[in-house]
This record gives sequence, structure tokens and C-alpha cells, in this order.
Amino acid sequence: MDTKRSSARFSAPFWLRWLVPVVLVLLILGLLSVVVLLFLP
Amino acid sequence: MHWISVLSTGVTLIFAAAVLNRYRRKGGRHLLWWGMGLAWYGLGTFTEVVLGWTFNPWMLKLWYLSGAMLTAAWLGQGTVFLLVRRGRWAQGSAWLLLALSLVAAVLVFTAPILPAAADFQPALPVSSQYGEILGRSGGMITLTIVLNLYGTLTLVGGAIYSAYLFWRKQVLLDRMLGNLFIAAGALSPAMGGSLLRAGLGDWLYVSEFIGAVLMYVGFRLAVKSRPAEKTATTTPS
Repeated sequence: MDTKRSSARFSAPFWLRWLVPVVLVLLILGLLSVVVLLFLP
Repeated sequence: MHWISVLSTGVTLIFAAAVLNRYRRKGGRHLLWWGMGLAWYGLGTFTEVVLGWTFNPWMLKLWYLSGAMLTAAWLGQGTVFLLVRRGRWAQGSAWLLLALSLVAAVLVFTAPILPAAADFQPALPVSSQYGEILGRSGGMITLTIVLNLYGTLTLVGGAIYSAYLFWRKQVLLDRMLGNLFIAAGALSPAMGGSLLRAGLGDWLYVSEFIGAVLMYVGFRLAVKSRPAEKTATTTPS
């Protein structure tokens, strides 16, 4: 993965600035719930 | 209900062909493993189509092996090859996964089909009936959990990690969004599998379709070509 290309930098609009962290947190919570559910009998 | 599996199979096979075609052009073992993982995905949804028509014990076993045991782990192995810089770890885990996949195949194909198979109803999802038909040993159940844990953590966790990196550095918007879609798409059938264990078998088919579509959208976003791509220096996702 290349994260060094400065030419591809973006400046996030306001809505994206708060939406992405929310989505990331939701995904992490979803991942944790799936892991917990895997261990249910 | 089974038309959803037909759609899932179509989307997944197109997706697998796109990934394997990219592997043919650009190389990269992550693409090879993702392509093979998607082939397992498509095989799993294809067996659902067949089982929605008529019962066949080998199709049921293939459904369990591909869908419940191998898909997530093989897709996750692709992410391991992409993110783990030390080739030895990625290589070692791939060999271990191959060995475990062989063990899984032996366990599944030697598992007994129980008398309840006579009552199989093609009109109902196989996901809500297999538990009473396929005799699963403790080892088989444990291996299913281990493979799914490995696959979900690496595939979903890897996509979340990549998206976070792109977000923090504010670079490659398409790839950041692509990874968010891939994470959500991979989480969908994993959730469906968990709901299946909770007794909600009907949701699995829908979650597989949503997962295939979201991951495909994510893949297309992540590999979207842009002018700067011509000067790219490292591996594409």
C-alpha cells in the first residue's frame, strides 16, 4: 500500500471529517461483536 | 429466497475474475489469495443454489467447507500478504492455512450425513437445516471457529487499519473509501454467520449478497486508476 504519494492528498469536506471516524468505530464494534459471537455455544 | 444466491454467485464470480485478472497483469500474492477466496465464496453460494433445487450430500459438504470454513480465512490470507511486510510470516501462515484447509476438507468429507437428511426441504435455506443433517465433530466445529476468527480479524481488521492509515495521512481518498466498503462487506457475511449460530439462518443469504456487492464496490474504488498512478512506487491494494 502506498501512503506516500503527496499528489493524491485530499482535504476532507466537513461531512466526511466526522462520518469516517463514526464508520470506523462502527466497523470496529461490528468486528468485536462478531468475534464475541463466534465463541458463543 | 434462492434467487439471492443466484445473484450472489454472479457478483462473486465477476469479482473473482476481476481480481484474478488483475493478478495475471500485475502479480502480487495478495490478489491470488483474494481471488481464490472469492472462488470459495462463489462456490459456497452456488451450492446454495443447487441445494435450493434438490438435496445432495456432497453439495451440502461443499457448502459447509467453502462457505463456513474456507472463504473468510483465504480472503484474510490475501490481506496478510498485502500488509505483513515480513515475507516469512506471510508465507508461513499461508502454508499453515493450506494444511488446516486440507484437514478441514478431510473432516467435512468424512463427516456423517444424519437421518434428518430425508426431511430436507429445498424451499428452506440450507443454513437453517444443515445443523441437523451434517454430523459435525468437536474438531470440525473448533476448526470452523479458528478459521473464521483468523479470516475475520485479518480481512476486516486489515481493511479498517488501511482505511485508518489513509484517513490519518489524508491521502488516496478512493482507497480509504474502498477499504471502508471492503471492511463493511467482509463483516456482512461474518455477521450472517453469527446470526446463523444464534438461530437466524434466513439472514445468511441476504448477508452474503450484501457482502459480495460491498466488497466488489470497495475493490473497484481501491483500484480506480488515477493520473498519479503512473508514478506510483509501491504495491497497489
